[in-house]
Amino acid sequence: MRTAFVNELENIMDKDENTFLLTGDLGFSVFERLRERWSKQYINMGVAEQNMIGVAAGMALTGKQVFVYSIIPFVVYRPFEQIRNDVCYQNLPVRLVGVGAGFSYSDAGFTHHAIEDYGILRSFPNLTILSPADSLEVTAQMKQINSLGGPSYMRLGRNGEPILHDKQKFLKIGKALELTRGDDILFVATGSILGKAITIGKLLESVGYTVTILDYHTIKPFDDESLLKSLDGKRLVVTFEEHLVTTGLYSLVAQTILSNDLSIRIIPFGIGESAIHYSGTREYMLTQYGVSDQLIYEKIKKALG
Amino acid sequence: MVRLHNRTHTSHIGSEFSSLDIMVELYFDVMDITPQNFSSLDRDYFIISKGHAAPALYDVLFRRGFITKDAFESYGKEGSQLAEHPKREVFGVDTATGSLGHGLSIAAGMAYSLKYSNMKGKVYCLLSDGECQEGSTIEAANFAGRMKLDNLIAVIDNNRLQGYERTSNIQNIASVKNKFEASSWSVSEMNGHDFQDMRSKFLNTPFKTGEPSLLIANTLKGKGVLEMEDKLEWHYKSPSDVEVENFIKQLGGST
Ligand SMILES: [Mg+2]
Repeated sequence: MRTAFVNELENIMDKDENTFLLTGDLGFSVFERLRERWSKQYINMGVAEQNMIGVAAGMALTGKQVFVYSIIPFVVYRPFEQIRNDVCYQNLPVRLVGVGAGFSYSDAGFTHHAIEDYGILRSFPNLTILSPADSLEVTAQMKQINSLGGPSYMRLGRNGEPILHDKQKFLKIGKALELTRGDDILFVATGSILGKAITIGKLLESVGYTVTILDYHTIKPFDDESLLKSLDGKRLVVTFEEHLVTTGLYSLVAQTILSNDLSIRIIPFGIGESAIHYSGTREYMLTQYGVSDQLIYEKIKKALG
Repeated sequence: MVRLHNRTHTSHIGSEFSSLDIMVELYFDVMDITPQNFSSLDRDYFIISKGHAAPALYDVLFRRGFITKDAFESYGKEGSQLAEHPKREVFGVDTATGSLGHGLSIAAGMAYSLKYSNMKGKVYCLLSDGECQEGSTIEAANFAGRMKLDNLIAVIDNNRLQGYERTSNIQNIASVKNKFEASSWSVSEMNGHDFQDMRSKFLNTPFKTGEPSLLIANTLKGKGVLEMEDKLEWHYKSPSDVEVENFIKQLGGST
């Protein structure tokens, strides 16, 4: 995902001398070419993230498009108030880009886990929140990103996430992508964990169930319409995310369903709040929260009776 | 402003009176910002990082023709755009502020951006002495010095009081000065109530090519009203009905 982001950013900077990249001292082996070529549009802001966001806001106030890059906790949690007041309140074209979605940096421990980011950010005004599932989605979103007048946040994995789409599908920011259409179950997923939804969907189809899979590459604005349309006739909704379910995709789905006076069972797969003290591989971490192919499959099968 | 605070019972009149003269000097004598050029990018900029002094800015914007008398007097009324802290919906306001420690970063971003685009505008940023305790202010100072932003002029309203303390009991101004100097700023002092002194200092910026300038403006909280001057409680109090006439008389106004 990171490579796709950098390639597209270079394409943008190629055409637009008013696009900038600020990095919080991160990007080893990623930004070398860009730094060389656009030495005035690339700034390593050092280990000072609050200032980095404020500077981005100041540049945006004087007509610039500014990408701001770091690991998610450092680009979201540390400068939280600068994002709220300077960027979102003022509706400025600042493009936050965070690497390390969910447990991408699982071994690094709790300080580096990014499991609350879009839950927190969805409460801010004017912000578009992007959560691409693979590098093809990153590319498609980057091609549209500068047409957003206001701020955005893009949640990236690291590198080497599997490609989940056959080819670059037509993806429109703000509109959920339907990957499969079925009658029995609705899967709603965001981010690279979409891969699990696709795998489980195939398993369920092999035992006679048909599944609709909706890919929410955009968390905000939340596409209520596609969700409500796809609910029709379903027995069960399952959400997939590498994020706290309490503030994440599950809560968005549940809220949409409830506020439309509908009643349907929802099973969330994501991060529970209790056990914050693990570290290990990404698969190990997810399994601790019941998010493994086998555990998901069993739980869904049981729910279907 | 005395009447405004009397009517709305809002806080911070002391902080407004310590920085009002600085804003008057900038808007009427120094800066290239007018209602006519405000919509252009190629001009000077003013960031009121101590956003709680916004009513003083509103008064200046009114007298400089940015906002109407009606708009100015709508301050504190329901539905008014003029809140206790400023936002860009008010014509003439360059950025929203209100939380301390944000303004200098925004100002530095603007200054870098103007330089990059070969625009000759300067960015003026008004800080409180208290807000230099914010780590982010020092982050911004580092950045501006390192990027040689000599089109950035920061002014510290050194009224020696903050919300709940003598500022020097928390952090001495000498420590602030040292930090800016160590970050490659050139620093000077001025009397923040002496227009001639301020004028000569501002016209001398940048003090040094390739360095941002810091002016420590020595001021009095509540300047001009004996009962308010250098008194911590006027960070919060507003003039009572009984006080209004006396205060206005001291300020040379007519009641
Ligand atoms: Mg003070």
